[in-house]
Amino acid sequence: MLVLVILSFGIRICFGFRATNIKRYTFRHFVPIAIPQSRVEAGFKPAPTGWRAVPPLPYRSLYRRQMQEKKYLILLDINARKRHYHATEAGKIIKFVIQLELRSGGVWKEVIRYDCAHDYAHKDCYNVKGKCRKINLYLDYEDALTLADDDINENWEIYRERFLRGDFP
Amino acid sequence: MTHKKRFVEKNSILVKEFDRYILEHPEFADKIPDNALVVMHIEGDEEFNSWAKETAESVAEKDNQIVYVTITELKPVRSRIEKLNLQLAA
Repeated sequence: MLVLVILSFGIRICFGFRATNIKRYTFRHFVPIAIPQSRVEAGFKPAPTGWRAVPPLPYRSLYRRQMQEKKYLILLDINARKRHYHATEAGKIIKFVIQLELRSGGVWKEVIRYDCAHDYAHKDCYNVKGKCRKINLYLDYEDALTLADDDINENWEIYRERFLRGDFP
Repeated sequence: MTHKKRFVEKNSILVKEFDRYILEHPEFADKIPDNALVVMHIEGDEEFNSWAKETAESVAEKDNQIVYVTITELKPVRSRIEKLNLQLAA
């Protein structure tokens, strides 16, 4: 008994506590390896067991939930660009930033930013001095992202004019 | 309308279409490298395309890879209204 306890703690210390989740695997979690016909024709021989472990259900959902991020810029004019960032998890938007940037005095400055920092969708408007006005959008992230894209695409020239004049866009 | 203004307006229209396309086909965005500068082109308008290219080259910074998205086919603009009423004033 003592040997088993020491062995158990030994495994936990050497491989971390997560490694002990292996005990959750039962025969239900092993499925036969499916070998594509093309690989069989190419002379591929499966491993002697021919089975692979599938994580138990609660862990399987964690494996699937991988965050995917995308960020890029879109050219609008010689002194205007739109910054796009979004992160999705299981096809849902979990983070986004849509930002209008203008080049003034050789420096790119943020003019309008739609984002979800502090866990709510909002719009930040900046003036040329960097002062900010915050507007709560009361929208979910998908709708806020669509609104952000539409607003900046439709009105970026008006925002540029106001910003360069020194006003809030 | 000056050429430049026409190009800026055309670019805005293409950007709108691109954003809508990305919403409907998010897998297309996977092909765009991180921090890339996306530049819209349209097939058959070489004048616009060269303006967009020149502008992009002057806007892009060191870490911005320029990516040209060429729209090769556009659906005609159609009304989205499905039902409507007409009422004459008395």
